[in-house]
Order: sequence, then C-alpha cells, then structure tokens
Amino acid sequence: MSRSRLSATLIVGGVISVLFVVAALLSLVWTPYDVTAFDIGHRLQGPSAAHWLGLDHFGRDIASMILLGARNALSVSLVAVLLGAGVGAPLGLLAAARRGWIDELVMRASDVVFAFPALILAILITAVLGPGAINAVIAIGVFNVPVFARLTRGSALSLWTRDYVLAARAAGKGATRISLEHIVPGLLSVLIVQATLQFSLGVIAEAGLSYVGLGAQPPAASWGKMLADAQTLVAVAPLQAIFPGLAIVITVLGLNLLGDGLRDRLDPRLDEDR
Amino acid sequence: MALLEIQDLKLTIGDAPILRGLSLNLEAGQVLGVVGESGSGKSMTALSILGLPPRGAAMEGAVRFEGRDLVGLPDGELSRLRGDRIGMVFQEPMTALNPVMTIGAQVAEVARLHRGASRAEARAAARRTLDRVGLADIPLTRYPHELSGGQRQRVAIAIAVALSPRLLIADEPTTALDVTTQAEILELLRHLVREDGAALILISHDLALVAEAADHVAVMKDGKIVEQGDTGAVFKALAHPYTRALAADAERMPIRTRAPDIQAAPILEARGVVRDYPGRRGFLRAGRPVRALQGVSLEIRPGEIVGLVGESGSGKSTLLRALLALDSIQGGEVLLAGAPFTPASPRRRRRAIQLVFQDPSGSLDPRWTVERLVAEPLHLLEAKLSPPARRAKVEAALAKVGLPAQAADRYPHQFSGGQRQRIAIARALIVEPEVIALDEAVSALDVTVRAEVLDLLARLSDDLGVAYLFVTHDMGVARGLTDRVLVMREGQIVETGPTAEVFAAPKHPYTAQLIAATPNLARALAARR
Repeated sequence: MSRSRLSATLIVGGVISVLFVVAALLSLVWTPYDVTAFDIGHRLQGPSAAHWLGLDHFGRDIASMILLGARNALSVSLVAVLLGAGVGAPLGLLAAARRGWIDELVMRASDVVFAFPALILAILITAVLGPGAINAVIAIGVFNVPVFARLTRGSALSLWTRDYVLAARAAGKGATRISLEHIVPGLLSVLIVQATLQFSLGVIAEAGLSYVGLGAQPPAASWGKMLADAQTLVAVAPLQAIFPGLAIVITVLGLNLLGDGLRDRLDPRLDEDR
Repeated sequence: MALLEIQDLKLTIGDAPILRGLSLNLEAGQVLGVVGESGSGKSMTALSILGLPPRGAAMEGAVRFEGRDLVGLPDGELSRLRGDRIGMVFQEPMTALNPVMTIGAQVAEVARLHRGASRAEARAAARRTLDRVGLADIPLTRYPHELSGGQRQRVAIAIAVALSPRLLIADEPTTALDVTTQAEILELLRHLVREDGAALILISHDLALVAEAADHVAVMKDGKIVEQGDTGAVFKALAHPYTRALAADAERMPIRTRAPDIQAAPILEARGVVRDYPGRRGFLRAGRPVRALQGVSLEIRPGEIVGLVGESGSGKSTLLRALLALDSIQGGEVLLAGAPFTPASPRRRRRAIQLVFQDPSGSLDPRWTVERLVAEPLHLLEAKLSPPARRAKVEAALAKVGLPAQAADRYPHQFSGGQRQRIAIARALIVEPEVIALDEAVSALDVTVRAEVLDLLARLSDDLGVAYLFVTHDMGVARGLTDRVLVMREGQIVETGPTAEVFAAPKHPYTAQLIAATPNLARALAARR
C-alpha cells in the first residue's frame, strides 16, 4: 500500500504555517498603518474599508497589530525551539552514547524541569529576569531543552541497539563518530516533527506570558497583550478580543496539523521499508 | 469426501498475483507438509484457508472444508469456524500470545467464545488442554513472559487444539525455537492430531523437517504447487527439477580446496574468558551478577573455519562480543595475532577481525549507499585514502563477493536478502582481515541463497586464506562448512574437535542430542524405507 505523499493534514497545516511566516516577514517591511500612530478619535471603531479589522482602544490599526504580533510570536517561539533543540538534542545524544552517570544527570535534571508546570515557571523566570521578548525566549527555551533531550535520548538508545551500529563499533568507530554518522540521520525526522509541535506550544506560551504582561513590551505588539487589553472591553467591543484570539487559534492549529502531517509522512517505523 | 479440498485457488493483492491456481486435497488423519522458499505463498495459503487474507486481496477459486466452500463466506460464519473447527499455530509464540493475559485465560477464552462455556467449565477445559500439551506442571495463572520459548509455543498449540479442531494449521511452528525443542514440538503436534483424528498442515522452509514429520508433502513455488504426493515417494524420486534443486541445496556442502595449517600459531585465542552481566538492580541495591561465560578457551588458526554451535542462551553471542573486544571481560584474556585484545586496544588492531551479522537488513544502515557502507571499516587503515582509491577498494571488495561495481551507488533496500548479505561480507573483507566472525550469517536466508552464500564463503576462505569463526544454531550448516567445531552450552564449551569426528562420534551427550534433534533429509528417508 502506498501512502499518499501529501495528506490533507499536511497541506492545510503547511498553508497556515506558511501564511503565518509570510505575515511575520511582511511586518518587517510593511504594515497597513503605523502602530505608533494613535487615532484616539476613532478608538474602538469596528471593521471598515480603511481599517479591515478596526481600531483598538488607542485607535491603532488591529490588522497591523496582528501582523506585528505574528512577527513577535514567530521570533520568540522559533528561537526558543532552536535553543531547546540546540541544547537538548546534544545532551540526549551524549546521554545515549555515554550512559552511566552522564545519562543519570541529564535525565534527572530533565525530571526536575518537568516537575514544574511550564507556564508557571516561565512566569517565574521572566518575573526574575524582567519582562521582555528576550527573557520570554529564555523562559520558553528552558522548557524545550528537556523535551528534546528526552526524545533524542530515547530514540538514540533504540538506534544504538541496531546491528549497523554494532557493525560500526566493530569497524572501530568511536561514540562521537557513530552518533554523528548513524544516530543523528536516524533522528532527524522525529526531531523535525517534535520541533514543529514545540513551535506551536511556544506560540501559546508566548501569548500567555505577554497576556500577564511579561512578554514583549509596547510598542512591540503581541497577541497575548492584545487579548489582555481587549479583556476589559469585551462587553463593549467584542471584536477586539476575537481577532487576536483567532490569530492564536489558527496559528497553533496550523502548526499542530503540520506536525501531525509530518509525523505521518516521516514515521520512522515506516522508514526502513523505503 | 476429503476434509479439505482446495481447487484452483487464486489470490491477488493489487496487481500482484500471490497464489496462481493452487489445488490440494487433505484427508482426516493426514499430516501434510507444505515446503517452499520465502515468497512462494506458503503462509498466504494458510491465511486463505482461514479466510484471513491481507487487506485488499482478492480471492478466487474454492476452499471446501467439510464439503462447504469457505470462499466468499461472510466473516461471521468464518469466525465461528476459526478456533473451533480449524486451529492455527504461528511462528512466533511471543507475539501470538497476549502478554497481559494469563495463559489459562487465553486458553479458556476459546471455550467461552465458541461453546459459551461458564467460567469454571472453561477453566477446567483450559487445565485439561494444557495438560494435554505437556504443561501439566504450569499453573493457569502464569503469564507468557514467565515461560520459555518452547512452553509458549505449547500454550499457543493449546489454544489451537482446545476445541479439538478437525484441521490444524501450523505455520513454521518451530522456526523460532531451538533444535531440541523443535523436535519435541513437532512430536507433540503429530501426537495431538493423531489423538483427535484430525489433519495437520505443517508449513516450513525446512525440507528435512517436513520429510521427518509429514506423510504427504506439497512443494510450492511462485504461488503454485509444483509437486505433491507421499513424502517418501516425492523425496526419493525427486522427479520435479525444483524439488531436486531444493533437496540438493539443502544438503549441499561447499567444496574446499585448502586445508588450514594446524601447526601455525593461532590468529585468535581466548584463554579462560569470563563475562558477567550485572544482575537486575533493586532500589539502592546492586544485583547479583549473572555469569554468561564461565572460563571459555578457544584457538583459531590462520585460514581455519571454526564452527561455534549451541542453542539460544548458551552464550554464543556473548562470546563473540568478547572476542571482538566490544565488551570488556571480567576474567581471562583474548589474544589477537598473539597480543592481548581489549576494548582499550588501539582501533587499528580491529582491522584483523571483522564481523558479519545474521540479518543483513539490520546490519546495514538504510540511509547509507553501499559504497559508504562497504567503505566504513577503511578508516581502520593507517593511510587515508583518496575518494577514487576508496571507490576502487569498494569495487574490488564487491567483485570478490560477486556484485557489480554499479551496486556501490545504490541503497541496501534495493537488494535481495542474499545480495545484502554479500554486501555485509564485502564490508568485512575490505580491510583484508585475518579472521571474520559470522554470527548466524546464513540463518535468515532461503536454502538456495544459503547454499550460494556458503559456497562464496568457502571460496573466499580458499582464495584469501581468511579464518572464520562461524556461529550457528544449525548443525547442518556447521557440518558442511567447518573444519573444527565447538559445542557451547550454558557459558561453557562442552565439546571440541574436528567436525567430521564430532559428528561421527560425539563424546558429550549434549552434542549427541543436538545432532539427533537436527532434521536430516537422508536419515528421514532411510527411516521411511
């Protein structure tokens, strides 16, 4: 039975994710309006031809804010994932290759981090370090480290039992070389899938942090901050909350679909037959 | 009326024909052996009789069981037959049994399901059935993982025969088992069907096994039965060329032209090697270590082919890993070319000893090209090779094992099992080792392919003077290829000597038991006379 190369999940997830990235990149060069320009006279105005998504409580263009928010969400969660994978994956590889006390150390440290609810500790970290996008990256990245460390270690351990790894050992190759030549290529697909899923979790976490005021600070726009601002006005101007909320939901959904689609596509269990 | 009558059965999956017009008859009380190589359609025949073809398969023809055509019968009707009138035993008992259910519950389930028996009745029936298959000492409350491989297969058989089916189908029921256990299981199957007056279809790749156990035999090839009839008649006449080829390949002994120099200094030597595995650790408590090798000594001389035989758990693989210095040992020493060889030895010394595994698809990284795979041990050489020189070496190694130069650019999955094993042998040869350790290197191969690979190994040994340590559970292979044989049991070598002598007059009772339990075509035919 042949698996279709592109599933609906993968296409829908991919399209949403691409739109998300395009929106973020677009905001670097162009937004419909300048978000530092306040149009207090028209504050809380609903959608119109001039302002597609309306104006917020300071009279800023919501469409422009959403674009800027995409940039913020993308950069924070992308760097957080790279941080997590960049630190976690090598730790996991090391733990699987060396076993013994290094393995214990890495895994018990992961347990400690896992023992704290992610968002609460992220709030703690940013509260200590001070609010801001960079500290949000660190806070979210810290939680990605054990996720990647564990995943890498687990998958690497099963690859270490393969005969071709034993063959490489019999050929006199050292642990580092085997890790790079045989283990890492075998792990790439699982890591890519996990990175996509952590990316979507990062978007939620970033929104959560900025919702409580610990993420990106004005004038930078953040979906979480927009939600928080709109909350008090929800009875008066419900659309204020709906647009950033939708942006979060659609983005996270898209990234999750992409992750699931990639998982089906790159399933390591089916890998050997190809 | 025949118990089972298959007429012109065709099975296609997608566009691929799997069975192409298969016909056979089976009477009650008969034992029918179905032999053939992998891909010949043996297992598909069994699954078709049960009405369990794979998804997307289309069936044509007739399968009449007790006069009733099963093809096209609704699944509910078939379910009522399966497990009741027709029982099935699979190859791997560990996966065929449910690991989280007690064996008693699994046997009782059949009676509950088909006979609507009460809990107590079903339990009593389960006890009776387990007694019948020789598990009288085993409580019903055991789980599959608490049993040995042979006991698990007995449980699987108990499930199949719990309701005394008219037809029992056993698909490679002993392939996953040790040879001494195999003989017991085959005897049990024959005994059970005789007692119930039922029929048995015994599917196997092993000609000798079928010759010993079956009254009638059907030889399959490419989804068809090429020959069938009384076992003695078929194997004695060997009228069909394919049957003849199979029998020849199964019995073939590679011809060797070069005798090893038994005076020469050993290339590989073990002296009193002891290997302990750490025991199961408790909380804050170190476990008692398990001793897997209890002072093993052996010598391999240049150009010699030494067989290491023994059943699973005898310590063969542990010994191999110790000899290759992949694991550290707790006592004794390993000498390679006269000097101690340990995991801490310089890597370049590994050049002298290379390794070939049982399963070539597992020992070749699926993401690497053949060129990269075969060249992997080259970094053991002192001099770093330029890419063209590397390529030339790879092509030379591939040529030695009879593969074309273009093979270097392809991936392992583009080759057949036999070709993959050739690639693995080429990888071992590329650094011109003095010794190659072969771990069950032909066990996963079909008889024809196996005969070819054995010939290749014998030729390479003659041409290159390389010594082999040939680890196998298959006494037939050991007899055919090796100069000297070591018999291993429970971490010790119990017998050693020239192969011909050991097989002709085994000194240790365990060796004699192993030889007697190994199916042998000539012996089976002689016994039928």
